[in-house]
Parts: sequence; structure tokens; C-alpha cells
Amino acid sequence: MIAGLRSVSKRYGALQAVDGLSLEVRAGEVHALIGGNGAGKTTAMKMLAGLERPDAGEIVLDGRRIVFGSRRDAIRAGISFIQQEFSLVESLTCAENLLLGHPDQRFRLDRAAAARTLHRLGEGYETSLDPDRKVRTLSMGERQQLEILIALSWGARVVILDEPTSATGEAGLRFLRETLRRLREQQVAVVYISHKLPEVLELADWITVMRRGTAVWHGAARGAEAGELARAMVGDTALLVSRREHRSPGAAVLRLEGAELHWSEEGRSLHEITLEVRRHEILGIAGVAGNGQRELARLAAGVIDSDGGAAVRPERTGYVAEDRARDSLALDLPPTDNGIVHVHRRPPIARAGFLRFDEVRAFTVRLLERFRIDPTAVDRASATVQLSGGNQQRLVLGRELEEATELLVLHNPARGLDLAAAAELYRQLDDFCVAGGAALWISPDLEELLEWADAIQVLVDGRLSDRLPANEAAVAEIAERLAGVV
Amino acid sequence: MTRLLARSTTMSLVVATAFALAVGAVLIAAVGVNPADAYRTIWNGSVGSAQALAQTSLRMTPLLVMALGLIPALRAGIFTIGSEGQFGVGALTAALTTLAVAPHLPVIPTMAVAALAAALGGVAWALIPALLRAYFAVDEILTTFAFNFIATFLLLWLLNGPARGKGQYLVQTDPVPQNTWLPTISDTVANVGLFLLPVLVAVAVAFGRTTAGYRVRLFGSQPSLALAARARPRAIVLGTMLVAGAAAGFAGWLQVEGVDRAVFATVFRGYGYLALALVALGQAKVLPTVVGALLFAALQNGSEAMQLGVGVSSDFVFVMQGLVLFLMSFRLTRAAR
Repeated sequence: MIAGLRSVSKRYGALQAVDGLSLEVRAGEVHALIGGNGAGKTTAMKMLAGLERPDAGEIVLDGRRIVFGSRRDAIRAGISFIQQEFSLVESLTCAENLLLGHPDQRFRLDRAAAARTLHRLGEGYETSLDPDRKVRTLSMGERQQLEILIALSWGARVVILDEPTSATGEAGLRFLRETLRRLREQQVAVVYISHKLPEVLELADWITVMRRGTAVWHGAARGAEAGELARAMVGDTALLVSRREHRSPGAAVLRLEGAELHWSEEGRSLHEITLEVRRHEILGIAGVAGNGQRELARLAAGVIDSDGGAAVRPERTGYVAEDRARDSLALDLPPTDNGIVHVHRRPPIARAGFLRFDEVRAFTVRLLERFRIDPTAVDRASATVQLSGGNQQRLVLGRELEEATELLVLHNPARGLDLAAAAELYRQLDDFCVAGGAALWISPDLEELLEWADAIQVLVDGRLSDRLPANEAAVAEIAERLAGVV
Repeated sequence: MTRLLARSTTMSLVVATAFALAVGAVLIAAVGVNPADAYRTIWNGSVGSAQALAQTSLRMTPLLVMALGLIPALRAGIFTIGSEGQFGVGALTAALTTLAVAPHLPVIPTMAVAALAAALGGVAWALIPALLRAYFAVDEILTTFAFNFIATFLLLWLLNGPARGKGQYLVQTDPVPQNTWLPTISDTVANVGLFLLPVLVAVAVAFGRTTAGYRVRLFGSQPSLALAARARPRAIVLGTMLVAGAAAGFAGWLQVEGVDRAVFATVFRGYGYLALALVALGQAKVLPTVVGALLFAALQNGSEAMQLGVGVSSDFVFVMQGLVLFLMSFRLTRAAR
């Protein structure tokens, strides 16, 4: 064995991110760490790489217990962590990035030596990196290649790859295959974090499945069965029961048919999105974050238009965005300005183009009372940022539930809410659906969706699966779609 | 100090000024002048008498008009720094239009046409940067700054060539006819342009209470939420940038008809940049902008009196303005955190 974790735990506030996890990696082997969002994979690897200190348990290297003071210590010990967000400087060249922070780097910048190192390490790859190219001009795949070469130049004996193909597609997968082969040859131990089962089954020697901070499955990749791993990722859902009474649905309120989105701000796209939400119904959208959820939510809510396909949407939609600081609130403006977003043109809030302050205030107070925020907050807070995170979310929920007449689009709506406020949200959502409303609920938490939704579709890489019932019988099928098996 | 600055924007302006005066006193003492004497002459020369106040109002009027016009743009998060160039273009348009129209129209229509032409001149000078920003997301800071340079050299060329008055010894246009000058108030040098200020301040305050003003600040604070409020980003960008241009052009007319009587090569005196600094550091609020415009106009005027009275260079005013703006900028970093 080269490196490992022995029953490590890490807690962030109320969240137990990693709970008594043990794991080993050996020279020349690839160990895949898989699990859904928030399973604790990245946190566990941050501890191994010296970026976080465990609350309990120990890190072992070459059979000895070690404590890393910083990331630099871990790098000196030969552990390199290649994160999802690359740590390259875009305005510098490949060679310069290699020199940056290199353990052997002294005062003089020897670009020629750096270029030779890049050539030597990069030999045998399909594409070779020009040392003098600026990182800005590199594709995602080439950046990943550069990061790995830099790690090797630092003398890494353990390389941790966080979601290495999430940004790179088919070519990236070919490159990864090649990289892993070479890392094996050089007797480097590799930990490979992913949520994509088919890839892991092909590329890894060992697999550990994490769920809620602990290892729930461990074994050799050869002979492992995709279905079994998918179920381990999702967990034991046999005890789950729907917490809503299913009603027979009415007419369609939202319908997307073959909707396409070519390019969003974050460079994500959507393909052939087809879904239908009917009166009295909640449709859950499951899937790991970063697969086009924000784009789908904005499309469904009518904030943006699709580039193709047909869409039928109601005139007024309530939309609770995932990132409220970015999409739902103007934090430096007062709560009243945030309350009247949808209604600011309508009487009695507006008259002859002017806002009527008494009406604006009364309306905002009503929104706040909907989720039991002390309404004097309207007068106390001159900027919405002065409200607590939970109260900010309640203000958004109040506003969007008030606006929704037929359709609600919810993206992680319970984020930042305490249990009582979450219960209140679920109650009001149920009332809304009973009264004839329809809801699209996007969440990475499958259990939540199984409890509340009538049906579930899975979003992977901007594509939506077929519609599955949100019940126990369908869990295995949903799990397989989540893991990309079908 | 920082706690005092943090209280309110207007309050922080007052505190920053007090602090700047204290530092200024040390500097004045360093050149061998009694600071008390120097500040007495500043006071007397800026607000100490009716005549001094009238002088100050002449500087304050174009500055405040420009600053008020910039408020919507800065609230929308658009950092247009083109006021300086738009002011010059507006002044030249005002003078040339007045000279061209005066022989054919009565006085009041002549003034109205010239004022409108000046505002349109400012709009025209703002139009290309505004369109580039609205349709191609080209950084308005760079384009408006570039347009200031173009305006500077275009004006110099015109004043040396086609626009130069016949037989004028200086590089200038012909003087505008005396009957088109803005009438003075009783026997002071102040003119009726001053009466426009309360009206424009009221308009600026009222705009913040309209639904359009609401969408402008929502867009400035959170563009993605402004979309949910069905705001039209292009309309906001174009509208606010062109309003700023119109205000700066109109301020050029006020300068020509109220003070300069012709356009000289010295028409660019930094009012545009000063107005922007005022609005930016006043966080695009109306009250601090008004207080700041009065303060800076008084300082400029008073420091000229100080040069005559006690011999301290009038450039002292730039030290004072710099200190006030510097201290105000602390408040911004605190707010940003």
C-alpha cells in the first residue's frame, strides 16, 4: 500500500461530510471513488491531499501516520490533487505553469528546462502540448493533460483526479485511458472520483461507492455489476413512502417538446428535452448537479427561450432558483425591491408608472408573513443581505408562491431552510397542487423526490430520460439512469 | 473614522471633507501661511457673501446637471465616463446653433433650439458607445473614454478651422449674441439656470420611485433577476447612457450661455470626470450628489479667492478634492466586502 485513510471523519457545521471512511490506494492501481452529489468523495480526497484536516481518524503514507500542515506538505510527500476547477494560470504558457509553485523552483525561471520536462513526460500521447502556448488557448482536455503532466513533474506518487471527464467528452475519455495506462506503468497510485458508472467499470481496478460520508460498497471492478453499484449509490429506499397523496392529473400546464438549448453562460447545452407537467402533479427532475439543471429550470420558467423545439408555458410562473444570490435576489437592494419583482407594474403596486410605497410595503409584509418572517424586517433591513440566509430563502419562496397561479419551478427549494420552514414549504406546495397547480421540482436528492413527486425524469449531460413513476418499484431503473448505465 | 464614514453616504461626505480640511491646514501651514487666514478667504470667496455664492452657483450648475444625468446609468451598473466629451460637444453645438439661428428667430425660440441641439449633441456623442454596449457588450468604460479623446481633438481642430470666429485672435468661436445669454438674478453674476436645479433634483428623486427607475436599479444590482421582472436590458443600457449624454450636452449649453459666452479651447475643464467621481462615490444617490456638487464648486471658487488673498496656489483645490474622494472610496470598499 502507498496511501490511505483510516476511519477519517469531517464535519462542516451541521453537515457530517465524511463519517468514518477507510480507503487504501496501491502503487500501479486505479481506485475509483463513486457516489452521488454530497456523498463526501471530494471532502475525503481533500483530506488525503492535505487541503482539509480530518476531525478524527488518520492519514497513512508508506505505512506511517502523517499529518499534513498544508497542501505543500502533501505535494512534497508525493500526493497531487487535480481538482475540477483547474488551478492553471490562463495568461501564462504551459512551461511557465509547470514552473509555478514547483518544489524545485528557485529564483531563476528556467523555461527551457520546463519545456524539456513537458516533452519528456508528454511522450507517447496522441497530442503533444506546445510548451510556449498560453493556457488560455488550450481546450479543457489539454488543460487536464497539462495538470497531470505538472503533477508528474512534481514527482507525484499518488494522483487524485476529481471528475476527470466531466468537462471533456469522448476525446477526454481516450486521453484518460492513455493517462491511466501510463500512470500504472510508472507505479503511480491513482484515485479517480466520478459518478459515471460505465467509465469507472472500464477504467478502474478497484471501486469504492460512497454514500452520506461512508463507504457502502467496496470491491474489484472486474466482475462488479452496474446495477448493484447503482443501487448502492442511491441507497436503501425500501423504507421510503410517498408523503403526498397522488391525485389523478388534469390538463397539461407545462409542455416542452424536443426543446434545445445550444449554449448557456456556463457553456452547457440541452438536447431533445421533452416533458409534461399536468395539474395536481409534481414532476421530479433527478440528476447530479452540473448536468444542465439551471438551464432546464430557466427554460421551464420562461426566463430564457429555447433554440428549438416547442414549448407551452403558462403566462405567470413561480421560479425558485437554486442560487438565490445570483438568480433570485438583488442582495444590496431593500427587501421591498426584492418583493415586488413580478408585480411592480400591476395596480395597486403601480399607478401611472409610479410605485406606491404603502402598497409596496404592505405587499412585501404579506410575502414575509407567508413564511413567518417577522414583518418588521422590512423596516429594519435597508439591504436584503442583512436578512439571514433562511429568511432570504423564505422571502423568495413567498414571492414565487404568490406569483405562481398554475406552475411552480423549484430548484433545490429547501436549501438553507430549517426543518420547520421546510415543512411549511412542503405543506404550501401540496396545497398548491391540490388547488390545481403543477410543479417541476429539480433536485440532486433522489429521496426527496421519491417522497414528494408523482413521477421522475433523470437529467444526464443535458438529456432527459423517459418518465418513470416515483415509487419503489422504479428505484432500480432510476438509479441506473442516474449512473449513466442506460 | 471608518465607523463614522460607514453611517450614511452624505454623512461620510461631510466627515471626509472635515478630515480633508484638517490635512489641508497642515499643508497650508507648511508653505508658511496661517491656515485660519487661508480658510477664511476660502469661506468668504465661496459662500461668505451673496456675490461669492453666485460665483459658486456658476460652477455648481453644469457640474450638478451632469452628475444628476449620470445617476440612472450608474444605478444600472453602467460606468460611462463620456460626460467630459459630451459636455464639449454640447457646448460647441450650443454656440454654433445659437449663432446660426439667432438672426432668423426671436430670442426665446433661439435659446430653446440651441439648448435642445446641445442635448442632442451630447446624445449623439453617447450613441455609438451605447449601441456597442447594448448590442455587442463592448465595455463602455473604454469606448466612452476613447470618445472623450476624439471630442477633445475634434473640437481643437474645429475651433482652429471651420468653427473659428472670423477675426478672432484666440482659438474660439464667435461670441454668442448678448440677448441669448441666460438672464442674471438681480445684480449678481448668478443666472436663471440655477432655478433649473431644484426641478432636475426633483426629477431625479421622482425617477427612483417610478417602475422604470425600479427596473434600472434591479438591473444594476442583479441582471438575471431583472430579466425575471421583464426588464429589457438593451432599453436600459441605451436609455441611461443617452440620458447621461443629453444631460452633459445640456450642461455645455448652460456653460456657454451662462458663463463663457463662446466656446474656447479651454472648454474641457474636467467637470465631466468630477461629476462621475461624485456620483460614483455618492453611490448614485441624489442627496450626496447634490451636497458633493455644492462642496466641490465652493472649494474651486474659494481656492481662487485664496490664491488672490493669501497667495496659496489655487491648485490646492485638487489636493482637497483628491483627499475627499480618496476618503470616500474607503466607504465603497467597506460596502463591497
